[in-house]
Amino acid sequence: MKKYFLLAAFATLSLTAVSCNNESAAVNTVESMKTPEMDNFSKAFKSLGDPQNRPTEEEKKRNTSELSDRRKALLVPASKALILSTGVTEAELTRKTNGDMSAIIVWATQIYSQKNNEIRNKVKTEN
Amino acid sequence: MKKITAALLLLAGAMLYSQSSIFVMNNYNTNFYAVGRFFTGSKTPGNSLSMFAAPNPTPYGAYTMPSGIYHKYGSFDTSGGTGNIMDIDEWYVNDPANPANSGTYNYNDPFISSYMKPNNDWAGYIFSLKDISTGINYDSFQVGDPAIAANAGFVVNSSQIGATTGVEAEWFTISSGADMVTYFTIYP
Repeated sequence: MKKYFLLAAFATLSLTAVSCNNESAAVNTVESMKTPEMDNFSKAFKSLGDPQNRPTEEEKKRNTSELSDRRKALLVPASKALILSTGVTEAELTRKTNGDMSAIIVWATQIYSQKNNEIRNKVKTEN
Repeated sequence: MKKITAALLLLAGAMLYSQSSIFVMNNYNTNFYAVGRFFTGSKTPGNSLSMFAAPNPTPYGAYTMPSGIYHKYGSFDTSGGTGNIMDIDEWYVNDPANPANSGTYNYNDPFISSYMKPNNDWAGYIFSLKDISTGINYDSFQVGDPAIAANAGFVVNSSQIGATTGVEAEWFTISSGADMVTYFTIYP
């Protein structure tokens, strides 16, 4: 019987962990509470719409929805800065991502979303 | 003991399959809302299983991305219930191969978790831009992942510039191993 309880507890814990990871992020109502690294990360994505950063004809012809390496490179500096701002070291960043641009951007995306969520919750409790 | 093993395997399987991609949207435009239909489609050609998002809680009666919004959906079955203006509380499922499945489901219905999540991904957004001061609609956009949207029966572009507004909207993915993020952006 004990085993079943342990199993249930494990299942609940696992599911909770999964559901927390998937929790959707918030509307950004308080711009002022964003860190400079968050701001720059958002600005980097915005800059993909600048004329020189738009997809080229060649890039448009590729048969994939994956962002081109040229444009991924534009997101990497702000992504790295956001990851490092959480206390992660350069060495850890390199070890975890192998310097892969996509891995760095995806990691930063998760951090941005999490931080945005924290800000939203903070605003909620303060109001 | 067998039962426990089976339960654990099932759980592991469910966790494995719940790896649907994250969706991030940014409307950087300060002049326009986007109003239209937001949908998902099958990753498998020939399978037309798809679903549309119910209108989120805005006054427009259609799925709307307010001006200046940032939002992330972690998955189809965590898309609602948070009290956020971007909540998708219901999905309208279309399953031509199994018509009994077609219909309206709450975002957290087990059907969405067990059937839609493993079989669908973010497909596209068919929308107009609505001027935030006049309420007038401009330009028709069909933006999304061309391959996935095609399986749902829609033609979309990965990027498009509105003929009247000159505003650009774009859809792309960033993939790293099993992790994938889909970004949809409306530029200033």
